[in-house]
Amino acid sequence: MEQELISKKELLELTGISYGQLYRWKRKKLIPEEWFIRKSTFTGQETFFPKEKILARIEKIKELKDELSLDELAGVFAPDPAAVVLTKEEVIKRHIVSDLVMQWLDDEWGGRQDVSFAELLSLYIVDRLLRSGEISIEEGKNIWMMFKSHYPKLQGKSCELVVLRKMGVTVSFLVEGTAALHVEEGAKLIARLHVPTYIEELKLAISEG
Amino acid sequence: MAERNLTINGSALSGGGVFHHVTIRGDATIRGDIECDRLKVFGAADMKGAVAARTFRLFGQANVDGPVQAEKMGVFGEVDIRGHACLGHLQLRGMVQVEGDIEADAIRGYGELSVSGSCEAESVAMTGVMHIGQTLNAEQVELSLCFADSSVKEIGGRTISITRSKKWSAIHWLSRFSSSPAVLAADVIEGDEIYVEYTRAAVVRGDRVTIGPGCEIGIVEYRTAFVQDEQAAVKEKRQR
Repeated sequence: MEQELISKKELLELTGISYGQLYRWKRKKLIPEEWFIRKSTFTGQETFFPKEKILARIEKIKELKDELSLDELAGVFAPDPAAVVLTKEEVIKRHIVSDLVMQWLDDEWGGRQDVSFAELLSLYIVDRLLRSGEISIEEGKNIWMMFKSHYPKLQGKSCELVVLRKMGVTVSFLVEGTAALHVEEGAKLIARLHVPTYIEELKLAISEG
Repeated sequence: MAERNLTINGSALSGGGVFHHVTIRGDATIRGDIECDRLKVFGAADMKGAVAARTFRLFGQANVDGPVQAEKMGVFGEVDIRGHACLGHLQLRGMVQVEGDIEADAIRGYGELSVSGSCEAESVAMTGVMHIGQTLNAEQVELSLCFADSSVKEIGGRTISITRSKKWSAIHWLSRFSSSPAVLAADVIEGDEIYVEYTRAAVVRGDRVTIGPGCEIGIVEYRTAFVQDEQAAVKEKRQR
């Protein structure tokens, strides 16, 4: 489950950006430090990036940079979002998560009307998993519980949500940072989600409103 | 901000706190965080704790065992920081040593800047010596080598210019018998527009690259333009 890497040179050729831009975006925290993977090659030190993530990120920066300033963009990509509180009605109105998942919230809280960003994030991710058809509703509920109780401990650090299933038993957990996973035979990797990606999506979904 | 001022004349110990102005004349030891609008040190200060000031002017010597945050920092003398330094404008006449990372809008001045981690700024214009353990990342880097050798692991930015200082000839005159005048050693230099002199680097990559006198470069990769001085050694060059 090693992720595919792209060298800095290839990246610049592929995306048509310059060294100056890349370093500027790094300085403005648009590209996280942990994506800069330094490796020794026969030509000396080279920097590599997780291919899929960096290409998606650069695409998004290019797309948004005319509308937003670099500092505003940094806000979009920052792993720790500002304290956003939405009302339940707003969430429903904007179709951020499906009604089914919203129903859980109702069951849990009854009358409460406001939803924090972290709570919404947990629902959003589970909702996406459910919509992909990879998990059942019961599993979704367990993942949701796990996420709610463990995600706050990470305090905005970058992490991944991993869902494994073997012989019909499902286990989900959060991994801090990005690590290679080596899973026993017979176990199926149901999902591996880079949480900051969903934070960005959710933030955009909220701000577009 | 608080209306209280802290003034230390002579030698004293303080527990820190929130102040309007902090002035130290003499020798002070501060144990605890300090937050103020204006911090001035004439003499020596030993601070154990975080320092947050709008302006921080130092004439003399200071140790800070903690992070430093300042919109404007002026160092006339020497400062040792053990922690992250987040600065607006750093004006340097002397020496700054950071055990950690430094982040700034602009860094300029004469003297020595040593950073164990990385240094990120919009513009860096220094005459003197630089030691950066990780990356020097700036929109504009102008380093004028002087006094002694510099070393930076990685330099990245838009325009990068490394020259040997032509000023200070009076001082050079004194040290003209020393065998090797100031050079820069780097692993990687990457930028859009690069001019380097008296630099030893494994790799230089950029759009327009000029390798000036006194350079020893392993590989140069350029896109649109490449110029090499007669007194420069480049093992391999590639256009891409």
